[in-house]
Amino acid sequence: MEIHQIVVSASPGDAVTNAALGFQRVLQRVSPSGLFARYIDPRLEGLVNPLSVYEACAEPEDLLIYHLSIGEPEVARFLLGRNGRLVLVYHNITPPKYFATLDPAFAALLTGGRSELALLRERVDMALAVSEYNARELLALGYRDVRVSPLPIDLAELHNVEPDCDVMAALEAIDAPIVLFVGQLLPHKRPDLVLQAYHILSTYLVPDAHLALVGKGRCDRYERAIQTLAKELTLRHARITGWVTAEQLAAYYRNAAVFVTMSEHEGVCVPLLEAMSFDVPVVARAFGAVPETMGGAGVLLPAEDDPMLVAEAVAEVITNETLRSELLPRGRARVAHVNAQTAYATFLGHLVDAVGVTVS
Amino acid sequence: MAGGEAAPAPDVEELVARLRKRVEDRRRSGAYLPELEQQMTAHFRRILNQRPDARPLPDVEAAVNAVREALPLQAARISMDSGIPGGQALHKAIGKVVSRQTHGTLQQVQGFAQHVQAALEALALAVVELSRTVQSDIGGSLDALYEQQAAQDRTMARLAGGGALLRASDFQPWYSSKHFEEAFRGTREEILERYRELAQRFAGLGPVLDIGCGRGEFLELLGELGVEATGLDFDGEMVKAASGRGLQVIDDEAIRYLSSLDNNSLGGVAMIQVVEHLSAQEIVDFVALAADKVRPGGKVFVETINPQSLYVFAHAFYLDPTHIRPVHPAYLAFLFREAGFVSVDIEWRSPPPADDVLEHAPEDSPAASVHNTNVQRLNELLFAPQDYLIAAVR
Repeated sequence: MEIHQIVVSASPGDAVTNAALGFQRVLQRVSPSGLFARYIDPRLEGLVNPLSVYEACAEPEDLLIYHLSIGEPEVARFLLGRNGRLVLVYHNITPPKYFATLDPAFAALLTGGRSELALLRERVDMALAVSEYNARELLALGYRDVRVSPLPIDLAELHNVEPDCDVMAALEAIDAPIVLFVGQLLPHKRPDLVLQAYHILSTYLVPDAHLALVGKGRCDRYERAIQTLAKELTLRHARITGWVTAEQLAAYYRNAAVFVTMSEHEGVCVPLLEAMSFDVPVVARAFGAVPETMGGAGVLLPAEDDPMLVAEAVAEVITNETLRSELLPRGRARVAHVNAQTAYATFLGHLVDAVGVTVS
Repeated sequence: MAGGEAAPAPDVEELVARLRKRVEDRRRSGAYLPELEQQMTAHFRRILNQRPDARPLPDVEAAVNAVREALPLQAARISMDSGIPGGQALHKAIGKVVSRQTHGTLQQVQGFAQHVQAALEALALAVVELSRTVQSDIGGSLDALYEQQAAQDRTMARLAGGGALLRASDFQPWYSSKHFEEAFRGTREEILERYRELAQRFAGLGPVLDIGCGRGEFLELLGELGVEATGLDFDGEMVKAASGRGLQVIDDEAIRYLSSLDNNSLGGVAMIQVVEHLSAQEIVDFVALAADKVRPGGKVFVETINPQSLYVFAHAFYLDPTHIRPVHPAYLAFLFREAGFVSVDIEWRSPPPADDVLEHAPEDSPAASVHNTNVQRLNELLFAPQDYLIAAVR
């Protein structure tokens, strides 16, 4: 028996691809194990192979592990037409409503993903959810054997890189608190609400506060609209960086006074953990997997749109030393047990337990 | 990144309550501009949905920098290189001979170039400032105009409709409407079960207005969830019955009542099995008013009979003599999108009972494949789900 993994699209830095590459290293200790994708970034050629290559030499007794985060009819057709054993790793699917008018083609893929998730239920032997939140979704869909298997997250990596000198110098020169958001500039992450809250913060509460929105976009129109909003609210001390290197990201975490995300949909929310590992207190709203990721170690706001309340919370974290001194150790304790090795062991344990993978 | 001992958990709930109180105090004292967050939200939506993309300016700054770098003009920067042997010495010699003339010319050109540079810098500043003004100030004025125009269009449409929307019916039957509901709509328990999930989708979104609330089952469900809700019905008997059970129900016409509300004052509107009682004008006016009164992020759910299922015409539709016309799902969804709702979905509800649906032939019977394809087609035409729901997010 061989164990192979399938992702819809593989690209460097993508969370799903990274998880699959990590799992591949573990699986290769147990059996021959390849990673196959429908779309492959040229930088990963050789490391990831086209799904068609697997289809040509597929064996019915192979165990396939499918990472689902978006729809792809061709992959779904292949998996549904096959009788062999199948394990699903569910990374969650962004609700299509956020892209309905902005990018209908993308919205259609997300909608397709939800249908495929329902269709695959009968074919899946075991479903692994990367968070409790994802697990609840699968159970609600009628999946039977659902287990939580955390993403392999290596927080140490970001601590081990040398922070980018230019960014460090620029941020250290700022003699004021820096509010940091890290995440893709996409509608469900609600960077517009972060800008609104920062407008309130810098107008009424902490006038010298700076803001950094760090992360890439994937929709030009939305990114431009966010930039225009920042300009028209005259947020002079807000910077929107676009994609950054790990070295630059480390520099931002090292200089941030508070991390804030207004995201409305998260299957995990890795930046929350990264921030806590850098002793940056976090403020977020109770959507999706955010509460469990935060694990009581930050300021969890209710799931409502109130930029005033967010601004007050951010101001409180910046100015209230007692609160900071309570939050920092909690953050550290929260991330102390987050590591890739534990995640690999859990993952392998589930495979051994549920689908009879043998570890020699 | 060492794991530390956890400090006692800060009481986040207590903290949030304190922060909320602070926000309320600031609001009350008038510290924030009125409706600041609504304005920011509306502004972002305009930027995203209405503004044409600004064309990037040519790189004026780089051009000015190039001019700056070219100055000052100096005789030393004139190349003396030559391809001919001894040419360089010759150039230098000629250079020396005409140095006075060269210097004089350079001085004049330098003086001129400095004026040109100053003019270019001033122009570049003006262009950048102009572009900012166009994009921000004029953009802002355009936004305000768009907003006004949309409001006027909606008012005009309402006026053209004569304002008699969702009015009390002229039809005055002698039978009890309560009995009619019980005979044909199902028992209270059945209705509660049928709409429980829908009510849950309003969680956290109060206040909700239930238009045509009838006996008030949906209001009860919202009440159980702690969602602030008001019902509206112009059937006095229904209003009395619902009020008697402690529900907040108003005997009024929907459009008149909706018009009296402040903009963005509702978290949601439910209109269950009502739209098929309305005229074409009433439907468009209701959607426009809902767009005004429901705040951004709020939800509108409209459930009605599905005319794409021929089954409903043999059963539900003509049972109620006050039904005017069924409304096509694509049309109703179009209205909500046109009115500016950010997300509009159609959900199919109430499939006909399995016993009524045509059966497929066993796969091994003769001509089963053709027969079953036909059965499938007929089932889709005749027995599509009986209702649909428009789920719209403002």
